Amino acid sequence: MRVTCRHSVAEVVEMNRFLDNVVSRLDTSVATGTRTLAKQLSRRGFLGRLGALLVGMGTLPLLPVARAAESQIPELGDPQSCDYWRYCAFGGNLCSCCGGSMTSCPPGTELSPVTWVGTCQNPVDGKHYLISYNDCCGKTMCGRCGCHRTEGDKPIYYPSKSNNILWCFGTQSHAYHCTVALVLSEANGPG
Amino acid sequence: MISVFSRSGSTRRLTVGTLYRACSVSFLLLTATAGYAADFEPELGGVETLSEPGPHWLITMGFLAGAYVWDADSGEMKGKINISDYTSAVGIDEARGMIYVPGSYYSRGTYGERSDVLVFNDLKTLSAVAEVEVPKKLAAVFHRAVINPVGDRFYGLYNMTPAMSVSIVDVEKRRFVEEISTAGCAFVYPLSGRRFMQLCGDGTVQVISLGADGKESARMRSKQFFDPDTDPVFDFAVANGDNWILVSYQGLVYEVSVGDQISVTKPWSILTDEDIEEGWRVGGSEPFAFNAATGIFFALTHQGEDDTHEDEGTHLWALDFATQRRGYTIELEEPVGVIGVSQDAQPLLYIVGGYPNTIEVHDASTGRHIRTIDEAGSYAGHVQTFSGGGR
Repeated sequence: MRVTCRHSVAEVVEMNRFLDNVVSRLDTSVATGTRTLAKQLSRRGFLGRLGALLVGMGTLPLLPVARAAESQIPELGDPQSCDYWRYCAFGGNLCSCCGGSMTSCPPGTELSPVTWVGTCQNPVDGKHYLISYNDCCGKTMCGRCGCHRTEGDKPIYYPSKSNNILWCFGTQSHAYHCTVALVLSEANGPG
Repeated sequence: MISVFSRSGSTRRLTVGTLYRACSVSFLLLTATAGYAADFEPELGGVETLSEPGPHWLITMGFLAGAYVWDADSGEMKGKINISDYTSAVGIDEARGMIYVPGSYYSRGTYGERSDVLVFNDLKTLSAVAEVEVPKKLAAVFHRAVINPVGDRFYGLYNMTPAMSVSIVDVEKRRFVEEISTAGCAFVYPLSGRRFMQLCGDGTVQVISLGADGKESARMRSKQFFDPDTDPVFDFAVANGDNWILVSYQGLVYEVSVGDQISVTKPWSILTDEDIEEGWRVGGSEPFAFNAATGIFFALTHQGEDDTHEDEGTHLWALDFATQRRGYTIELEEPVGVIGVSQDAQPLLYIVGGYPNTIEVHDASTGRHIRTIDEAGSYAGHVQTFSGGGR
């Protein structure tokens, strides 16, 4: 199975540039004058807003919103097993083994609003779904149920599809604890 | 500082504090042992220092595992370097006798105020002697190319927030110079002059030049030469002199050279048609190495399907880079993901893997096994070699 992106390379690059540009401007702005504001608004706040803006524009595969754990699709399998269908491009420790679940972080950790994505096939309905892998951050590594799968994984210079990056961006601390796998939408098949 | 010779003849340095503690312990020992061994001379403790690094010294480093210094000629561990939980690689500056450690730290361990610094460690003592504060953006990607020299005075540190940028540090004046935005392009691969190369998500490479003040003076971009969706190049490149060798997931080899323009050679494949038919692939986390003095290129290989580019290698292939033909093959006892090779004319090959790690040391020219270094850290993310260039 290969992870697909609904955008051309040029579009993705353009998105990345746009993201870089906006974040860079925010960074510069903070660094040069709005120190008080920066103390009040964490990087998560900045990136959350940025992510919402970009998702609203329908341009980015970075989906920063955690949502209710109630699954709306048929699920069959063990979420504590690396073989579980949602984990096809997973890298890290399964939060379902660490006091959380496949969609929620363990107590005392913080869900990263910025993620990498994969496209995985649900064996029950045969459909492909866009999966967001969110790191849970702020505690030392859980160390249980390590899982590393590379279906559609890309190099680090292609970050939206790379699981070799510590994705605790926009959180109070970028200490890595574990990762959840959220279904974002149905995908139009493998790519 | 006082130097004394121990019975083994090695030099040890004693500070005043150490001497005071040693004398205190000696007094207690003498008191306690009075009447038992009046002529016994108590041993004095001390702290070792490193000798001059040789070309067969190396550093292995892994996620949350620290950085170990080894001498592959003796198989002995020489010491350990303090790194942060987020440190991905170090800069080895033998000319200045320093090891630079980029790191991120929180005031309460895993939380609190974050500070990102480049720590200067003395290469003789492996102790921190200075630090330079840098923007709190150091990338935690566990990759060798997050820090590298840019010219003879500057170092580039790769940032990711996830916006991509590079922080420049002047190691001569020990000060931060500036942050350079590198949208869509990652890492710091050094080139001659004050230049460095980056890999970009649109299938190109980017070259950035610094002025004498360490600030960006120019940049250029190659044409697209690979497709990041269908056959991206590994993000781990190996140097051939001033050129960089890139290998794609499907085993195509590109060589990038940089003059006034960026040139990329027509690719050739590590895998023959027969290899492809048998399902051979390249893969690992640092699956390639190259020794320019002998022209030998090394690749970890395995048999697998698509998307197994990070599977550890079951075999190591040694190829003559000029003729593109395979010389010898090593069938590995256990799959490994990391290899390295010394850069001298009598090169040693390092095959690193297992849990805990072992470092298998081979003669790189013949493939002959020389020694095994056991208990080499808990997990190796990568290998860095010394040049033995001296200070």
